[in-house]
Amino acid sequence: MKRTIEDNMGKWLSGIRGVNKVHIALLVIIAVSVLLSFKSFSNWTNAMNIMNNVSLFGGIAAIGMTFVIISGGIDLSVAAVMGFAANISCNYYNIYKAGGLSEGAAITLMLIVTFGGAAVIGLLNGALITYLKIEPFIVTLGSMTVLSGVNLWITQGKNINGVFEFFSNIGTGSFTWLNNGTFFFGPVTGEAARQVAFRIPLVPIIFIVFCIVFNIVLKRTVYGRRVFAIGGNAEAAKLSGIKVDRIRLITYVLCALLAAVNGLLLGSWTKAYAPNLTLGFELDVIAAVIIGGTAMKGGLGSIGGTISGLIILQILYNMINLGIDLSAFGIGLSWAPETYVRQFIKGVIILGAVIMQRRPSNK
Amino acid sequence: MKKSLIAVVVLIAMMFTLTACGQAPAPSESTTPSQPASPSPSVSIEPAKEPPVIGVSNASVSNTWRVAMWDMLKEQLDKDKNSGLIKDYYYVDGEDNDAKQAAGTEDMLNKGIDLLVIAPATESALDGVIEKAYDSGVPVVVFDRRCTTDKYNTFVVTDDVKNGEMAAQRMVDLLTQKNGAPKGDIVVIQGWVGSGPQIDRQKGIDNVLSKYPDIKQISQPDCKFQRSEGKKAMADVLTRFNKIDGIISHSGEGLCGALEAVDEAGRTDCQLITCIDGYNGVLKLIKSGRVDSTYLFPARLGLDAYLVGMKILSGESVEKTTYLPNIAVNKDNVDQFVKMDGDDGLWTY
Repeated sequence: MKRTIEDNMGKWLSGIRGVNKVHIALLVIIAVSVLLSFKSFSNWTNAMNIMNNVSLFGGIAAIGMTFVIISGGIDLSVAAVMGFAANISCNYYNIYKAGGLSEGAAITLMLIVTFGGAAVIGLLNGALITYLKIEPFIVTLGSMTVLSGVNLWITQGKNINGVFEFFSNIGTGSFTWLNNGTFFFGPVTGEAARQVAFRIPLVPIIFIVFCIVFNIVLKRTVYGRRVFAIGGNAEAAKLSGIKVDRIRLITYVLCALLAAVNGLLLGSWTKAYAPNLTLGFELDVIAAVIIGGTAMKGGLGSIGGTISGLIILQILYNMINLGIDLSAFGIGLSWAPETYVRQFIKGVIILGAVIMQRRPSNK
Repeated sequence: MKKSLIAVVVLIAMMFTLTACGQAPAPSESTTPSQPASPSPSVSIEPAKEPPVIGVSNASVSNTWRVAMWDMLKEQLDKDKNSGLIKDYYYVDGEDNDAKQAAGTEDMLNKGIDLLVIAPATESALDGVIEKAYDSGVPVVVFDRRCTTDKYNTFVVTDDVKNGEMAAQRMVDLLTQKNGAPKGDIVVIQGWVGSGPQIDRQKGIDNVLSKYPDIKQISQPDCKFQRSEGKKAMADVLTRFNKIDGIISHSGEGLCGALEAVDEAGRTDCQLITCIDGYNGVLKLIKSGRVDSTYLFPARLGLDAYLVGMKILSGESVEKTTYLPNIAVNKDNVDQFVKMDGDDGLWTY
C-alpha cells in the first residue's frame, strides 16, 4: 500500500500523545497567517479577539456538540437554544428595568427559565430520538424550527436591548493592567483602553475552564467512555449492558444546556438580542467539530480537536477581514478580499479543511 | 371500487356548486366595468360610494424593519377601519415565499378588494396576480420591492441609491472640512452583502466617491445588518488599520455594534461618521454628537403606499413611480425622530 506523506507524518507524530492532524493544520494556519499579515495578526489584541470570537460564536456549544456527534447523533437546534438564552436574558432585564421585579428576583427567574427551557428542548430531542427512534437530524431540525418560532413570538419579531450589569461585566470584562500599574477587572473602554498595558478578557478563560472540565468528563468518566461506546457500535454497547437510551438522553440535554451557557455569554457581550443573532451558527459549530477530527458517524473525537477546529475557523474569518499585508517584510503588498469574494473564500477553505480531515476508509 | 368512484364524483360536484354559489359580487360598486386594456400612466376611478376594502400583500416580516413597517401600516388600517374610512382590510404574509404570497393574494382578490397594496417577495413571481388585479379594475400600489410587469398604478419606494449618494457626499464635505481637501481613509460598513439595500446603497456611495480619488474605502466589512456582526467585524478592521478618518455605514444597527468595538479598543480616530437608516440607536448617537447624520429608509413605506392608494381611490392621479422624499437627519432635526427613552431597536419613522 502506497504511503502518503500524511501517513508518514502521522506515524511520526502519533508517537507524540494526543496529536492529530487538525493540530498540525492549526499550527500551519497560524504560521501562514503570521507571515501573511504580520503586523495585524500577530499581536495580543488580535489573538484575544480571536479567542473571544471562538468562545462566543459557538465555542461552548461546540463542546456539547462534540459529545453528541461522538455518540453518533447530531443536534441542529443549538443555534436556536443560544438565541433563546440571549432572548430571555434581555427580556428579564427589561422587565426589571420597567420595575416589574427586583434585580435578584429577575436574574434568578431568568436563569431558571433559560436553563429550564434548554433542558426541556434537550429532553424533547433526546426522547424523540431514543424512544420514538426518529432520526436525530429530523428531530433537531424540528425542534430548531419550533424554538426559532418561540423566539420570534417572544419579541414579536423585534430587537430587544439591554442586559444585567452583572452579565455584561462578564461578557465584556477583562483582567486589566494599566500602564501606571493599576490592576482591575471590568469592561475597558475609552480613555482606560488607551492606558492598557496588558489585558486578558474573561470570556476565553471561562471557555477554557469548560473545555478542561468537559475533556475530563469525556476522557476519564464512565459516562464519557459510554458515549464513545454508543457511537462506535450501539448494538454492542447495548448488549454489554450500557443503558444506551439514557446516555443518549443525557447527552442531548447536556448539549442544550451548554448551548444555553453560550447564548447567555453571547447576549452578555452584544448586550442585545436580534431575531437573526444566531442565524446559521449550528453549521459553524458542526463544521468546527468535524474539522476537529470528530467523525460524523461517531465513536471518535476529542475536545482538543474541536478547540483546534474552532480556532481554525475563527482565524479564517479574521484573516478574511485582515487580508494580506506584507509591509512588515518591506514588501508593499496589501490586499483584502473584495466584499463579494469573501463568502466564496470561506466556503473553499472549509471544504478544504474537511477534505484534509478525511479518514482513508480502509483503515 | 365503484362506491368510492361515485363518492369522489359527488364530492367534486359539490365543490363546484359551492364555489359557484360563493362568488359574491365585489363589495364596492365603484369599479367601472370597462377598463383600458393597456396600462396607462394613471388610472383614476370614480370616488368610492361606500368605504373600500383594502388588500395588503406583504413579502414577509422576517426582519425588524419589515416588522415595524407592518406595525405602522396596521395601526393606520385599524384606525381607518374604526373611523369608517375603510370597510375592512385583508392581510397576506408571504413568509418570503413566492408561491405562498401569490396564493394568498389570489384568495384576497377572490374575496373581493378595492385596492391592492403589495410588496412582492421576488421580482417576477407575483406578476401574474398583480396583472390579474389590475385587469379586473383593482388599483395596484406596489411598494418596497419591484415587480417586472407594467400593470400597476404606482411603485412607491425610497431611493436607496440616493441615500448612499447623500451619505457619501456628506462624508466628502466632512473630510474636506477636516483635511482641507477631499481626502482620507474611510471604512464603509456593508449591509448584508447581496441584498437589495446593500447593492443600492453601495452603488450610491461608489457613484460619489469615484469622483474623489484621494478618498479611499480601505475596508468594507459586512455587518449583516446586525449589532453583533458589526462589533466583530469592526474589531478586526481596527486591528488592521491604525488610522481611520471616517465611517460610512449601510446599517444603523451594525454601526452601533461597530462603535462599541471602537470604544473597547480605545480608539480616538474614526471621528467622522455618516449612516443610512433610522435605527433609533443611531438617532440617539446623532443627538449626542457622536454620529454626524443619517439618511432614512423609513419603515413608514408601507403606510405611505397605502395613503397613496387611498388617493387613487378618491380620484387623484399619480406618477408611475412615487419616490418618497429622502430625509437627512442631523443634529438640527433629530428631535423630530429620536425616542431618547425608547429601545435602541425602535424604528421611529
